[in-house]
Amino acid sequence: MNEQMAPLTEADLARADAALADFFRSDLPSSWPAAPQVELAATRLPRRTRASHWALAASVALWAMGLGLFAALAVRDEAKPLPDDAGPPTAHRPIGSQRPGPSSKPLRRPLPPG
Amino acid sequence: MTQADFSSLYAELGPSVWAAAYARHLDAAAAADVAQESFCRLWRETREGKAIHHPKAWLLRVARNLAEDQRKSAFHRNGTQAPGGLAPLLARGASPLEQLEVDEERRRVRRWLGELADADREILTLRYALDYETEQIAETLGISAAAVHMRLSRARQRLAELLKPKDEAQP
Repeated sequence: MNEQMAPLTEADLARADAALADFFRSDLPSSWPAAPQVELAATRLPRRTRASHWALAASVALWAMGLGLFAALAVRDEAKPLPDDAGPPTAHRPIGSQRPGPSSKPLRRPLPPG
Repeated sequence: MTQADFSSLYAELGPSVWAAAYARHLDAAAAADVAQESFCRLWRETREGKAIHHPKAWLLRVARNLAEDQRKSAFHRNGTQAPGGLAPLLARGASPLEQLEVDEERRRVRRWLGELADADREILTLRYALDYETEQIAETLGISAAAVHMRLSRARQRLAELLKPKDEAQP
C-alpha cells in the first residue's frame, strides 16, 4: 500500500510510456491494409448490366413469340364452327324435376297382351 | 467521388478509422476489417447519391458502431481466449524468460486498457499506435487539446502506478 502511495517519478512515467508504446506496436498489423478496390466493383457493374440487358431482350422476344403463337391459335379456333351451331338445341331437363328428361331415343311401347 | 478521391481519403483517414475500431476491443485484425467495411459503406452511400458532408465524422461513427457490434459478438468467436492468445507462439528473438516477462507486461497492459473508457482507449491508440500529436488527436476526435492532454497524463499516471509495485518488490 505504501509503495503505491509513493510519488511517481519520471522514470515511472517513462516506463508506462514504454509499456504502452510496446503494447500498441506489438499489436499493430505488420502491413497496413490497402484501400478497398471499389472501382473494380464499379466497372464490373456495367458489364453485368449489359449482360442483363441481353437476357431481358431475349426473354421479352420469347414472351412475344409465345403471345403471337397463342393469338394465332385462338384466331384459328374462333374460325372453326362450334358443334352446337350445327345441330338443334339439346332439350334439357327442367331444374328441380324428378322425372327423367326427354330422350332423343324413341320410347319403347309395351307389348300388347297375348 | 472518384477512385482517386476515395484512395486519398483512405490514406488520410484510414489510420484514424482503424484506431477508432481498435480502441473498442483491442483486436488489430478485426479493426482493419471494420475500417475497410466503413470505407466501403462510405463508397456505396456516395454512389447512391447520399450527401456526406463530413466524411471523417461519418467514418468514425460508422467504425465505432461496427466495432461495437463486433465486440458484442466477440465472445462467440473467441470464447474466453483473448484475441492475441496465440501470439507467443510466433515470438522470435528473445529468450523464453525475457519473452515471458514481455508477454506478462503486455497482458497487464491489455487488462488495464480493457478497464478504461472507450474514449480514453481511443486517445491512447492514436497517441501510441499511430504516434499522433496532441493537436492531431484533438482534431481527429473533435475535442480540445487540453482535454486530450489531461486524459493522456491521467492514463500514464495510472499505468505507472500499476507497473510500479512490481519493480519495487524486486530486491
